[in-house]
Amino acid sequence: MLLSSMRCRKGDKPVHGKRFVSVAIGIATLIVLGVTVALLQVPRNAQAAVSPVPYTTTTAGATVLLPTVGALPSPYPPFPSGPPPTRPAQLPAVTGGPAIVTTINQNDATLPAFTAQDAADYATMHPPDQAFGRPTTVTKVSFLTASDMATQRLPEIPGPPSRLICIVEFSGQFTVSAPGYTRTSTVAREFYDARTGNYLGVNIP
Amino acid sequence: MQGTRSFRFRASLPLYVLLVIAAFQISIFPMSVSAYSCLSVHCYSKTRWAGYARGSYTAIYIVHISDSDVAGNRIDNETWLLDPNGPGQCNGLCWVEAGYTFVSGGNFSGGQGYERLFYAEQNPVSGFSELVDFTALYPGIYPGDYYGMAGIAIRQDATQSYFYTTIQTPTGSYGHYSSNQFNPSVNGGYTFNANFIDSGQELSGQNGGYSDPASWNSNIWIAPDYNGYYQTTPVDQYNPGNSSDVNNPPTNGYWSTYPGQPNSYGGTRVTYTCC
Repeated sequence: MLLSSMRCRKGDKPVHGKRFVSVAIGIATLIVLGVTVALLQVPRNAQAAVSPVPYTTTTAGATVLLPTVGALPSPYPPFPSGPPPTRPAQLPAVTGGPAIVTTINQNDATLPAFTAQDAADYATMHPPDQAFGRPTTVTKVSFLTASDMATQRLPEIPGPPSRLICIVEFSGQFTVSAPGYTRTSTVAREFYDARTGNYLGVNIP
Repeated sequence: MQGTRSFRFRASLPLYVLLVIAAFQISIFPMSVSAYSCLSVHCYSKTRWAGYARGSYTAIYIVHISDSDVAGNRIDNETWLLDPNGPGQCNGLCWVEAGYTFVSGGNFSGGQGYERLFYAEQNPVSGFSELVDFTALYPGIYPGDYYGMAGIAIRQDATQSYFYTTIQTPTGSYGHYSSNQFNPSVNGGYTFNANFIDSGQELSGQNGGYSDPASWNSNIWIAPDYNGYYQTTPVDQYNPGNSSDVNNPPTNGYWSTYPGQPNSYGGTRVTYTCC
Protein backbone atom coordinates (compact mmCIF):
# COMPACT_ATOMS: atom_id res chain seq x y z
CA MET A 1 0.00 0.00 0.00
CA LEU A 2 2.81 2.33 0.88
CA LEU A 3 4.61 1.38 -2.28
CA SER A 4 1.54 1.88 -4.40
CA SER A 5 1.03 5.29 -2.95
CA MET A 6 4.58 6.21 -3.93
CA ARG A 7 4.28 4.94 -7.46
CA CYS A 8 3.29 7.30 -10.31
CA ARG A 9 1.39 6.31 -13.37
CA LYS A 10 2.98 6.74 -16.72
CA GLY A 11 2.16 10.19 -18.00
CA ASP A 12 1.41 11.71 -14.67
CA LYS A 13 2.98 15.03 -14.06
CA PRO A 14 5.62 15.18 -11.38
CA VAL A 15 3.79 15.95 -8.19
CA HIS A 16 6.52 16.03 -5.58
CA GLY A 17 4.35 17.83 -2.97
CA LYS A 18 1.55 15.29 -3.31
CA ARG A 19 4.05 12.46 -3.26
CA PHE A 20 5.57 13.77 -0.06
CA VAL A 21 2.13 13.93 1.57
CA SER A 22 1.34 10.49 0.31
CA VAL A 23 4.59 9.05 1.68
CA ALA A 24 4.03 10.77 5.01
CA ILE A 25 0.56 9.32 5.32
CA GLY A 26 1.91 5.92 4.42
CA ILE A 27 4.55 6.10 7.13
CA ALA A 28 1.94 7.23 9.64
CA THR A 29 -0.15 4.24 8.64
CA LEU A 30 2.74 1.92 9.37
CA ILE A 31 3.27 3.53 12.77
CA VAL A 32 -0.40 3.19 13.67
CA LEU A 33 -0.34 -0.42 12.54
CA GLY A 34 2.69 -1.05 14.72
CA VAL A 35 1.05 0.55 17.74
CA THR A 36 -2.09 -1.48 17.16
CA VAL A 37 -0.13 -4.71 17.04
CA ALA A 38 1.78 -3.70 20.17
CA LEU A 39 -1.40 -2.88 22.03
CA LEU A 40 -2.93 -6.19 21.10
CA GLN A 41 -0.02 -7.90 22.82
CA VAL A 42 -0.64 -6.07 26.12
CA PRO A 43 -3.21 -7.39 28.58
CA ARG A 44 -6.24 -5.19 29.12
CA ASN A 45 -5.11 -4.67 32.67
CA ALA A 46 -1.56 -3.47 32.47
CA GLN A 47 -0.98 -4.30 36.11
CA ALA A 48 -1.53 -7.92 35.25
CA ALA A 49 1.80 -7.88 33.55
CA VAL A 50 3.59 -7.01 36.78
CA SER A 51 5.76 -9.92 37.72
CA PRO A 52 5.25 -11.27 41.22
CA VAL A 53 7.50 -13.95 42.65
CA PRO A 54 9.64 -12.84 45.51
CA TYR A 55 9.00 -15.93 47.57
CA THR A 56 6.60 -18.80 47.81
CA THR A 57 4.58 -20.47 50.48
CA THR A 58 2.14 -23.30 50.59
CA THR A 59 -1.54 -22.90 51.25
CA ALA A 60 -3.88 -25.87 51.38
CA GLY A 61 -1.44 -28.02 49.54
CA ALA A 62 -0.84 -25.62 46.70
CA THR A 63 2.24 -23.53 46.19
CA VAL A 64 1.32 -19.92 45.64
CA LEU A 65 3.39 -16.93 44.69
CA LEU A 66 3.46 -13.90 46.88
CA PRO A 67 3.99 -10.45 45.44
CA THR A 68 6.82 -8.37 46.74
CA VAL A 69 6.09 -5.53 49.07
CA GLY A 70 9.63 -4.29 49.23
CA ALA A 71 11.67 -4.03 52.37
CA LEU A 72 9.20 -3.39 55.15
CA PRO A 73 10.27 -0.90 57.79
CA SER A 74 11.02 -2.27 61.20
CA PRO A 75 10.11 -1.94 63.97
CA TYR A 76 6.43 -1.35 63.44
CA PRO A 77 4.74 1.56 65.20
CA PRO A 78 4.32 0.53 68.83
CA PHE A 79 1.22 -1.29 69.93
CA PRO A 80 -0.52 1.02 72.43
CA SER A 81 -0.71 -0.54 75.85
CA GLY A 82 -3.52 -0.28 78.35
CA PRO A 83 -7.03 1.10 78.04
CA PRO A 84 -7.81 4.14 75.93
CA PRO A 85 -7.91 7.59 77.51
CA THR A 86 -11.13 8.75 79.09
CA ARG A 87 -13.43 10.32 76.56
CA PRO A 88 -14.01 14.01 77.29
CA ALA A 89 -17.64 15.02 77.71
CA GLN A 90 -17.07 17.56 74.99
CA LEU A 91 -14.86 16.60 72.08
CA PRO A 92 -12.65 19.18 70.38
CA ALA A 93 -14.40 20.73 67.42
CA VAL A 94 -13.45 19.45 64.00
CA THR A 95 -12.88 22.27 61.57
CA GLY A 96 -13.69 20.43 58.35
CA GLY A 97 -12.77 21.55 54.87
CA PRO A 98 -13.63 24.75 52.96
CA ALA A 99 -17.00 24.56 51.20
CA ILE A 100 -19.82 27.14 51.32
CA VAL A 101 -18.83 30.79 50.94
CA THR A 102 -20.05 32.89 53.86
CA THR A 103 -22.04 35.95 52.87
CA ILE A 104 -24.11 37.22 55.80
CA ASN A 105 -24.07 37.78 59.56
CA GLN A 106 -20.30 37.95 59.62
CA ASN A 107 -20.24 39.62 63.02
CA ASP A 108 -22.97 37.66 64.81
CA ALA A 109 -21.69 34.29 65.99
CA THR A 110 -25.21 33.11 66.88
CA LEU A 111 -26.51 33.24 63.32
CA PRO A 112 -25.61 31.33 60.16
CA ALA A 113 -23.12 33.08 57.93
CA PHE A 114 -24.86 31.89 54.76
CA THR A 115 -28.44 31.29 53.66
CA ALA A 116 -30.31 28.03 53.29
CA GLN A 117 -30.34 28.69 49.55
CA ASP A 118 -26.54 29.09 49.56
CA ALA A 119 -26.30 25.70 51.26
CA ALA A 120 -28.75 24.05 48.89
CA ASP A 121 -26.95 25.45 45.86
CA TYR A 122 -23.58 24.21 47.08
CA ALA A 123 -24.85 20.81 48.19
CA THR A 124 -26.66 20.22 44.91
CA MET A 125 -23.29 20.46 43.19
CA HIS A 126 -21.53 18.41 45.89
CA PRO A 127 -23.75 15.44 46.79
CA PRO A 128 -22.54 12.65 49.10
CA ASP A 129 -20.16 10.30 47.36
CA GLN A 130 -22.29 7.40 48.66
CA ALA A 131 -24.66 8.24 45.79
CA PHE A 132 -21.96 6.93 43.42
CA GLY A 133 -23.16 9.18 40.65
CA ARG A 134 -26.84 8.43 40.94
CA PRO A 135 -29.17 11.46 40.88
CA THR A 136 -29.85 13.20 44.17
CA THR A 137 -32.17 15.98 45.27
CA VAL A 138 -31.76 18.39 48.15
CA THR A 139 -34.99 18.12 50.10
CA LYS A 140 -34.33 20.14 53.24
CA VAL A 141 -31.88 22.58 54.76
CA SER A 142 -31.95 23.29 58.48
CA PHE A 143 -29.76 24.96 61.08
CA LEU A 144 -29.46 23.30 64.47
CA THR A 145 -27.13 23.51 67.43
CA ALA A 146 -25.03 20.47 68.20
CA SER A 147 -27.12 19.86 71.33
CA ASP A 148 -30.34 19.99 69.28
CA MET A 149 -28.90 17.41 66.92
CA ALA A 150 -28.31 15.00 69.78
CA THR A 151 -32.03 14.95 70.57
CA GLN A 152 -32.96 14.14 66.99
CA ARG A 153 -30.90 10.99 66.54
CA LEU A 154 -28.48 12.84 64.29
CA PRO A 155 -24.73 12.17 64.48
CA GLU A 156 -22.71 13.74 67.24
CA ILE A 157 -20.75 16.65 65.83
CA PRO A 158 -17.69 17.34 67.99
CA GLY A 159 -17.52 20.79 69.54
CA PRO A 160 -19.44 22.91 72.01
CA PRO A 161 -23.21 22.21 72.40
CA SER A 162 -23.99 25.67 71.10
CA ARG A 163 -22.11 25.10 67.87
CA LEU A 164 -24.41 25.95 64.97
CA ILE A 165 -24.57 23.27 62.28
CA CYS A 166 -26.17 23.41 58.84
CA ILE A 167 -27.81 20.14 57.88
CA VAL A 168 -28.58 19.44 54.23
CA GLU A 169 -30.84 16.49 53.58
CA PHE A 170 -30.90 14.61 50.27
CA SER A 171 -33.18 12.07 48.69
CA GLY A 172 -31.78 9.47 46.33
CA GLN A 173 -30.04 6.11 46.54
CA PHE A 174 -27.11 6.02 48.95
CA THR A 175 -25.08 2.88 49.50
CA VAL A 176 -23.16 1.97 52.63
CA SER A 177 -20.82 -1.03 52.62
CA ALA A 178 -18.63 -3.07 54.91
CA PRO A 179 -17.22 -6.56 54.36
CA GLY A 180 -20.14 -8.85 53.67
CA TYR A 181 -22.62 -6.07 54.15
CA THR A 182 -24.40 -3.59 51.91
CA ARG A 183 -27.44 -1.44 52.48
CA THR A 184 -29.02 1.35 50.51
CA SER A 185 -30.81 4.29 52.08
CA THR A 186 -33.04 6.81 50.36
CA VAL A 187 -31.84 9.58 52.67
CA ALA A 188 -28.44 11.15 53.24
CA ARG A 189 -27.28 14.20 55.13
CA GLU A 190 -24.33 16.52 54.86
CA PHE A 191 -23.15 18.74 57.68
CA TYR A 192 -21.58 22.15 57.40
CA ASP A 193 -20.31 24.54 60.03
CA ALA A 194 -22.92 27.31 59.89
CA ARG A 195 -20.37 29.95 60.78
CA THR A 196 -17.45 29.02 58.55
CA GLY A 197 -19.28 27.18 55.77
CA ASN A 198 -16.82 24.30 56.14
CA TYR A 199 -17.89 20.78 55.21
CA LEU A 200 -17.89 18.54 58.28
CA GLY A 201 -19.11 15.16 57.14
CA VAL A 202 -21.81 12.86 55.85
CA ASN A 203 -24.42 10.63 57.41
CA ILE A 204 -26.45 7.79 55.90
CA PRO A 205 -29.20 6.95 58.42
CA MET B 1 -8.29 14.68 -15.23
CA GLN B 2 -9.07 10.98 -14.81
CA GLY B 3 -5.43 10.33 -13.94
CA THR B 4 -5.41 13.09 -11.36
CA ARG B 5 -8.55 11.68 -9.73
CA SER B 6 -6.99 8.25 -9.68
CA PHE B 7 -3.84 9.63 -8.10
CA ARG B 8 -5.89 11.50 -5.50
CA PHE B 9 -7.76 8.34 -4.64
CA ARG B 10 -4.58 6.30 -4.35
CA ALA B 11 -2.84 9.02 -2.41
CA SER B 12 -5.78 9.19 -0.02
CA LEU B 13 -6.07 5.45 0.38
CA PRO B 14 -3.62 5.27 3.28
CA LEU B 15 -5.64 7.97 5.00
CA TYR B 16 -8.79 5.86 4.71
CA VAL B 17 -6.93 2.88 6.06
CA LEU B 18 -5.66 5.03 8.88
CA LEU B 19 -9.20 6.05 9.75
CA VAL B 20 -10.40 2.46 9.71
CA ILE B 21 -7.56 1.39 12.00
CA ALA B 22 -8.24 4.30 14.35
CA ALA B 23 -11.91 3.33 14.53
CA PHE B 24 -10.88 -0.25 15.23
CA GLN B 25 -8.58 0.85 18.04
CA ILE B 26 -11.27 3.00 19.61
CA SER B 27 -13.67 0.08 19.50
CA ILE B 28 -11.32 -2.34 21.23
CA PHE B 29 -9.60 0.13 23.55
CA PRO B 30 -12.45 2.36 24.71
CA MET B 31 -11.70 5.21 27.08
CA SER B 32 -13.54 3.49 29.91
CA VAL B 33 -13.32 -0.24 30.47
CA SER B 34 -15.32 -1.97 33.15
CA ALA B 35 -12.42 -3.73 34.77
CA TYR B 36 -14.31 -4.95 37.82
CA SER B 37 -17.81 -5.05 39.24
CA CYS B 38 -17.75 -3.37 42.64
CA LEU B 39 -20.39 -0.71 42.18
CA SER B 40 -23.48 -1.66 44.12
CA VAL B 41 -21.70 -4.24 46.26
CA HIS B 42 -18.17 -3.19 47.05
CA CYS B 43 -15.25 -5.56 46.69
CA TYR B 44 -13.04 -6.61 49.54
CA SER B 45 -9.75 -8.37 49.75
CA LYS B 46 -9.40 -8.96 53.44
CA THR B 47 -8.72 -11.35 56.21
CA ARG B 48 -11.20 -11.93 59.03
CA TRP B 49 -10.50 -13.09 62.54
CA ALA B 50 -13.33 -14.13 64.81
CA GLY B 51 -13.57 -14.05 68.57
CA TYR B 52 -14.56 -11.62 71.24
CA ALA B 53 -12.08 -8.74 71.47
CA ARG B 54 -11.77 -5.33 73.05
CA GLY B 55 -9.91 -3.98 70.10
CA SER B 56 -7.41 -4.56 67.34
CA TYR B 57 -4.08 -3.44 65.94
CA THR B 58 -2.47 -3.70 62.54
CA ALA B 59 0.45 -2.03 60.83
CA ILE B 60 -0.52 -1.16 57.27
CA TYR B 61 2.17 -0.53 54.72
CA ILE B 62 1.56 2.93 53.27
CA VAL B 63 1.65 2.70 49.49
CA HIS B 64 0.33 4.78 46.66
CA ILE B 65 -3.33 4.23 45.91
CA SER B 66 -5.58 6.11 43.52
CA ASP B 67 -8.96 5.97 41.86
CA SER B 68 -9.90 7.69 38.63
CA ASP B 69 -13.40 6.26 38.44
CA VAL B 70 -16.28 8.71 38.46
CA ALA B 71 -18.80 9.47 41.12
CA GLY B 72 -16.89 9.31 44.35
CA ASN B 73 -15.74 5.74 44.06
CA ARG B 74 -12.84 4.83 46.26
CA ILE B 75 -10.11 2.47 47.28
CA ASP B 76 -9.14 2.01 50.93
CA ASN B 77 -6.45 0.13 52.83
CA GLU B 78 -7.94 -0.25 56.26
CA THR B 79 -9.11 -2.27 59.24
CA TRP B 80 -12.57 -2.83 60.72
CA LEU B 81 -13.93 -3.82 64.11
CA LEU B 82 -17.38 -5.32 63.67
CA ASP B 83 -20.37 -6.48 65.66
CA PRO B 84 -22.72 -8.56 63.48
CA ASN B 85 -25.59 -8.11 65.91
CA GLY B 86 -26.15 -4.42 65.42
CA PRO B 87 -29.65 -3.13 66.22
CA GLY B 88 -31.45 0.04 65.15
CA GLN B 89 -29.70 2.10 62.50
CA CYS B 90 -26.87 -0.42 62.37
CA ASN B 91 -29.32 -2.50 60.35
CA GLY B 92 -27.57 -5.71 61.34
CA LEU B 93 -23.94 -4.62 61.49
CA CYS B 94 -22.31 -2.03 63.72
CA TRP B 95 -18.69 -1.13 63.02
CA VAL B 96 -15.83 1.27 63.28
CA GLU B 97 -13.18 1.48 60.58
CA ALA B 98 -9.97 3.38 59.98
CA GLY B 99 -7.20 3.46 57.44
CA TYR B 100 -6.20 5.47 54.43
CA THR B 101 -8.26 6.13 51.36
CA PHE B 102 -8.38 7.71 47.94
CA VAL B 103 -11.82 8.88 46.83
CA SER B 104 -12.09 9.73 43.15
CA GLY B 105 -12.37 13.40 42.36
CA GLY B 106 -15.31 15.37 41.12
CA ASN B 107 -17.97 17.61 42.48
CA PHE B 108 -18.58 15.79 45.68
CA SER B 109 -18.71 16.61 49.28
CA GLY B 110 -15.04 16.79 50.13
CA GLY B 111 -11.85 14.87 50.73
CA GLN B 112 -11.56 13.58 47.18
CA GLY B 113 -8.66 13.33 44.84
CA TYR B 114 -5.83 12.64 47.23
CA GLU B 115 -4.66 10.01 49.68
CA ARG B 116 -5.73 10.70 53.24
CA LEU B 117 -6.37 9.00 56.54
CA PHE B 118 -9.97 8.39 57.51
CA TYR B 119 -12.28 7.10 60.20
CA ALA B 120 -15.93 6.08 59.88
CA GLU B 121 -18.51 4.28 61.97
CA GLN B 122 -21.97 2.79 61.83
CA ASN B 123 -23.80 3.07 65.14
CA PRO B 124 -27.34 2.13 66.18
CA VAL B 125 -28.57 5.71 66.66
CA SER B 126 -27.65 7.62 63.52
CA GLY B 127 -26.33 4.94 61.20
CA PHE B 128 -23.24 5.47 59.06
CA SER B 129 -21.17 8.62 59.48
CA GLU B 130 -17.84 9.85 58.23
CA LEU B 131 -16.72 13.14 59.67
CA VAL B 132 -13.78 14.83 58.06
CA ASP B 133 -11.16 17.18 59.26
CA PHE B 134 -8.67 17.88 56.55
CA THR B 135 -6.37 19.94 58.69
CA ALA B 136 -6.04 18.20 62.01
CA LEU B 137 -7.49 14.79 62.72
CA TYR B 138 -7.26 13.09 59.40
CA PRO B 139 -4.92 14.83 57.03
CA GLY B 140 -3.49 13.72 53.76
CA ILE B 141 -0.68 11.22 53.53
CA TYR B 142 2.56 13.19 53.62
CA PRO B 143 5.51 12.43 51.34
CA GLY B 144 7.50 11.13 54.30
CA ASP B 145 4.80 8.58 55.10
CA TYR B 146 5.06 6.52 51.93
CA TYR B 147 6.65 3.12 52.32
CA GLY B 148 6.41 3.48 56.05
CA MET B 149 3.84 1.91 58.34
CA ALA B 150 0.53 3.22 59.63
CA GLY B 151 0.02 1.59 63.02
CA ILE B 152 -3.72 1.56 63.60
CA ALA B 153 -5.18 0.59 66.97
CA ILE B 154 -8.89 0.61 67.73
CA ARG B 155 -9.63 0.21 71.42
CA GLN B 156 -12.99 0.05 73.14
CA ASP B 157 -13.11 1.46 76.65
CA ALA B 158 -13.64 -0.79 79.65
CA THR B 159 -17.33 0.12 79.95
CA GLN B 160 -17.80 -0.55 76.23
CA SER B 161 -19.19 2.93 75.69
CA TYR B 162 -16.86 4.33 73.03
CA PHE B 163 -13.84 3.61 70.86
CA TYR B 164 -10.53 5.39 70.65
CA THR B 165 -8.70 5.01 67.38
CA THR B 166 -5.04 5.90 67.04
CA ILE B 167 -3.12 6.13 63.80
CA GLN B 168 0.62 6.49 63.94
CA THR B 169 2.44 7.23 60.71
CA PRO B 170 6.11 8.07 60.15
CA THR B 171 5.25 11.77 60.26
CA GLY B 172 2.49 12.05 62.82
CA SER B 173 0.19 10.57 65.45
CA TYR B 174 -3.56 11.01 65.45
CA GLY B 175 -6.24 10.08 67.94
CA HIS B 176 -9.98 9.98 67.41
CA TYR B 177 -12.89 9.25 69.73
CA SER B 178 -15.94 7.55 68.30
CA SER B 179 -19.29 9.21 68.73
CA ASN B 180 -21.09 8.79 72.03
CA GLN B 181 -23.81 6.82 70.26
CA PHE B 182 -22.06 3.55 71.06
CA ASN B 183 -22.77 4.32 74.71
CA PRO B 184 -25.57 2.04 76.00
CA SER B 185 -26.99 4.93 78.02
CA VAL B 186 -27.36 6.93 74.80
CA ASN B 187 -28.41 4.24 72.34
CA GLY B 188 -31.05 2.51 74.43
CA GLY B 189 -28.98 -0.25 76.00
CA TYR B 190 -27.02 -1.81 73.15
CA THR B 191 -23.44 -2.87 73.90
CA PHE B 192 -21.02 -3.27 71.00
CA ASN B 193 -19.37 -6.67 71.17
CA ALA B 194 -16.45 -6.82 68.78
CA ASN B 195 -16.71 -10.32 67.40
CA PHE B 196 -14.91 -9.80 64.10
CA ILE B 197 -11.73 -8.06 63.09
CA ASP B 198 -11.23 -7.51 59.37
CA SER B 199 -8.19 -6.07 57.69
CA GLY B 200 -7.69 -5.49 54.00
CA GLN B 201 -8.62 -3.47 51.00
CA GLU B 202 -11.98 -2.09 49.91
CA LEU B 203 -12.76 -1.10 46.34
CA SER B 204 -15.84 0.51 44.87
CA GLY B 205 -16.72 1.31 41.30
CA GLN B 206 -15.95 -0.32 37.98
CA ASN B 207 -12.56 0.86 36.88
CA GLY B 208 -9.68 3.21 37.59
CA GLY B 209 -8.71 1.88 41.01
CA TYR B 210 -5.05 1.34 41.67
CA SER B 211 -2.90 0.24 44.57
CA ASP B 212 0.72 -0.68 44.89
CA PRO B 213 1.20 -3.98 46.71
CA ALA B 214 0.18 -3.40 50.30
CA SER B 215 0.41 -5.46 53.44
CA TRP B 216 -1.11 -5.70 56.90
CA ASN B 217 1.45 -6.71 59.47
CA SER B 218 1.77 -7.51 63.13
CA ASN B 219 -1.94 -8.21 63.43
CA ILE B 220 -3.04 -8.23 67.06
CA TRP B 221 -6.29 -8.73 68.89
CA ILE B 222 -6.79 -6.87 72.15
CA ALA B 223 -8.24 -8.80 75.07
CA PRO B 224 -10.59 -7.26 77.69
CA ASP B 225 -7.55 -6.79 79.95
CA TYR B 226 -5.94 -4.79 77.10
CA ASN B 227 -3.17 -7.25 76.57
CA GLY B 228 -2.47 -7.79 72.93
CA TYR B 229 -2.05 -11.17 71.26
CA TYR B 230 -0.84 -11.93 67.79
CA GLN B 231 -3.47 -13.26 65.48
CA THR B 232 -2.96 -16.82 64.35
CA THR B 233 -5.80 -18.41 62.45
CA PRO B 234 -8.04 -16.37 60.20
CA VAL B 235 -11.55 -17.65 59.66
CA ASP B 236 -11.92 -16.11 56.27
CA GLN B 237 -9.53 -14.96 53.65
CA TYR B 238 -9.33 -14.76 49.92
CA ASN B 239 -7.51 -17.54 48.20
CA PRO B 240 -6.99 -17.61 44.47
CA GLY B 241 -9.68 -19.55 42.70
CA ASN B 242 -11.98 -19.60 45.68
CA SER B 243 -14.42 -16.76 45.52
CA SER B 244 -16.91 -18.23 47.95
CA ASP B 245 -15.08 -17.17 51.09
CA VAL B 246 -14.43 -13.58 50.18
CA ASN B 247 -16.87 -10.77 49.92
CA ASN B 248 -17.21 -10.11 46.23
CA PRO B 249 -13.65 -10.12 44.99
CA PRO B 250 -13.04 -8.10 41.84
CA THR B 251 -13.01 -10.26 38.76
CA ASN B 252 -9.83 -8.71 37.44
CA GLY B 253 -8.47 -7.27 40.62
CA TYR B 254 -5.47 -9.49 41.13
CA TRP B 255 -6.02 -9.35 44.82
CA SER B 256 -4.88 -12.05 47.12
CA THR B 257 -4.26 -12.39 50.77
CA TYR B 258 -2.13 -15.05 52.31
CA PRO B 259 -0.99 -15.90 55.75
CA GLY B 260 2.49 -14.55 56.00
CA GLN B 261 5.53 -15.88 57.67
CA PRO B 262 5.93 -16.31 60.50
CA ASN B 263 2.25 -16.73 61.15
CA SER B 264 2.90 -16.70 64.89
CA TYR B 265 3.66 -12.98 64.76
CA GLY B 266 0.24 -11.98 63.62
CA GLY B 267 0.93 -12.88 60.06
CA THR B 268 1.40 -10.65 57.10
CA ARG B 269 -1.46 -10.27 54.71
CA VAL B 270 -0.52 -9.11 51.28
CA THR B 271 -2.74 -7.47 48.74
CA TYR B 272 -1.38 -7.70 45.28
CA THR B 273 -1.43 -4.73 42.95
CA CYS B 274 -4.97 -3.66 42.40
CA CYS B 275 -6.98 -3.47 39.99
